[in-house]
Amino acid sequence: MLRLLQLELAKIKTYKTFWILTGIYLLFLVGITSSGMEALRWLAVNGANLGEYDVQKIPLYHFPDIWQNLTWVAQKFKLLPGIYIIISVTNEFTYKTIRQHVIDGLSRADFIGAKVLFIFLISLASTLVVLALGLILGNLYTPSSSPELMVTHIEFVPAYWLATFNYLLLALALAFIIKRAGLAIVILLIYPALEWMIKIPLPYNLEYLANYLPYASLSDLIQFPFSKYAMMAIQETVLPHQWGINLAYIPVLIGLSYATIARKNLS
Amino acid sequence: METVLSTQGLSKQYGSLKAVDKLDLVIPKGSVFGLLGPNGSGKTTTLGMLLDVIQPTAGSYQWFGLPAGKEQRKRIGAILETPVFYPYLTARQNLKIVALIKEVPQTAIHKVLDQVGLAERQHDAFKTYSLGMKQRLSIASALLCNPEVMILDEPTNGLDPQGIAEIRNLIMGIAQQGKTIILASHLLDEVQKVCSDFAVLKKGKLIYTGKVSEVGHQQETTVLVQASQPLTELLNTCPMVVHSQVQPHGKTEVVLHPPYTASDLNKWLFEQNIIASHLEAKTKTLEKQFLELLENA
Repeated sequence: MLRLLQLELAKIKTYKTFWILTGIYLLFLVGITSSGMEALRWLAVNGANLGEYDVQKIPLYHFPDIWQNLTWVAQKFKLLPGIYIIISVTNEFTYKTIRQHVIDGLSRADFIGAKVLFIFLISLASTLVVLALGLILGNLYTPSSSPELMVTHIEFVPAYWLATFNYLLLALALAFIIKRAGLAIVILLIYPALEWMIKIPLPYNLEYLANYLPYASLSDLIQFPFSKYAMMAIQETVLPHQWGINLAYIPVLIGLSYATIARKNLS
Repeated sequence: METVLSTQGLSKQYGSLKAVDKLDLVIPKGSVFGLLGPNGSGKTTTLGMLLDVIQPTAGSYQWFGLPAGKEQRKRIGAILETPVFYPYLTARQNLKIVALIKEVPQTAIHKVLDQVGLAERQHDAFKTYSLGMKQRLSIASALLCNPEVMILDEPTNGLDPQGIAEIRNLIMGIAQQGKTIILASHLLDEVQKVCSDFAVLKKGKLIYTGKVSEVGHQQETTVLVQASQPLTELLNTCPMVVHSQVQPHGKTEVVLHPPYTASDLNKWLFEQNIIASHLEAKTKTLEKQFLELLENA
């Protein structure tokens, strides 16, 4: 397993596209998620105060609110690693390195395995960045923090990992199915809309089924949190069925990628 | 005799086209095996199936007596078509990837880069290499696992004469270490120079397999003769002769029944009081036999 991961890492060592995308991703991940208070100040200056309510008093970064707030914003940037995953697969078809790898003694399952391990590593790294950000910002802004308060609703952090992991597995499957970088990236971009369009021909009483499609499921893990500051009810925690369906999608998405090359000729 | 590769009824069908048709092949250990056939005869498809990149429609094969699998492929060094590497990685980084796949120590990399003369350029990106250097990196990659079998598909395609000579020397050098080489080619001269065994494919069918050294044995011998007088009429009375014909350059081409040779003909002519001013036994070339095989199949 370590060998397969080393194999993927050896490919990116001097690959500029990867490092540029990673740089932009980190910039967004750290820069935007941690500038929430700046955004509120901007809103206040521009007269977005809700009556007597001072938006700058919204506890964006207070434990335990911070975990859902932070992870919801952070997951908006997963398109960037998604694009890289697509390039990393379509490159193998363009350069014919997938064929050469098999000739050299890699099985098709190994090839998929290496990509999945790489995706695991990226999603884990991203999660650790978000966890670190949460701990730092939470301790900076929360007036009186305690260990118990810090870990309250920290389940949004593993949920963030799962959402990121599954999204990248979805990008992987799209790359294997489409095999061309440009088209696969466009499809990934419009994919949420495609899932939404599936709803249209469904009869009204079956529309709910569309909520169980892969993108809808992973988006459901962390729902929009900020409406609570307008006194609306929001998601309290991540529920067992949300974990369940997203965990079930892991083998499905990996299997989908594998099916595109298993028992197929590689030219 | 130990066998490196055997195939049973190996077939590949693309729609209605039988690219490879029930191929039964046995390649002995230590042989330099030439796989011959015109373009489109199924050589590359066969190699593709043996390396698991093309799925056979039917049949099976074993490497080293073991059923097909990735572990067997790790013991094979293969060069198919054009060199395949990551353009943005250096030679060394590219070989590191191959070493990880083949599970050989990284220490092997320097040795093979040295062997193909790329040690000096090892830290330059693959995309900056000339075609010759790219080919040499392919060879280095195939040698990396110290392979028991080397597979080469049209290895001299697109190379200049110096490159062709280099590849030929390399093949001979590897063969001398007792390794098995499988060489697909349509260059018959090439095969005759380096191979010990050969097989001929035509439209996916195996039409001949045998030793290169036996080419022409037990077959008619062709001799070119010249004398101060016309010979055809006289020669056609000779019991050894199949037929004779005057060639444009004035010499007479005589085809002899086996097992008669040029010296038998010379002796017979001498007995007829004819002294040949030119007598040349033409060795049967692989090319000729190849063309005959293709015609008769």
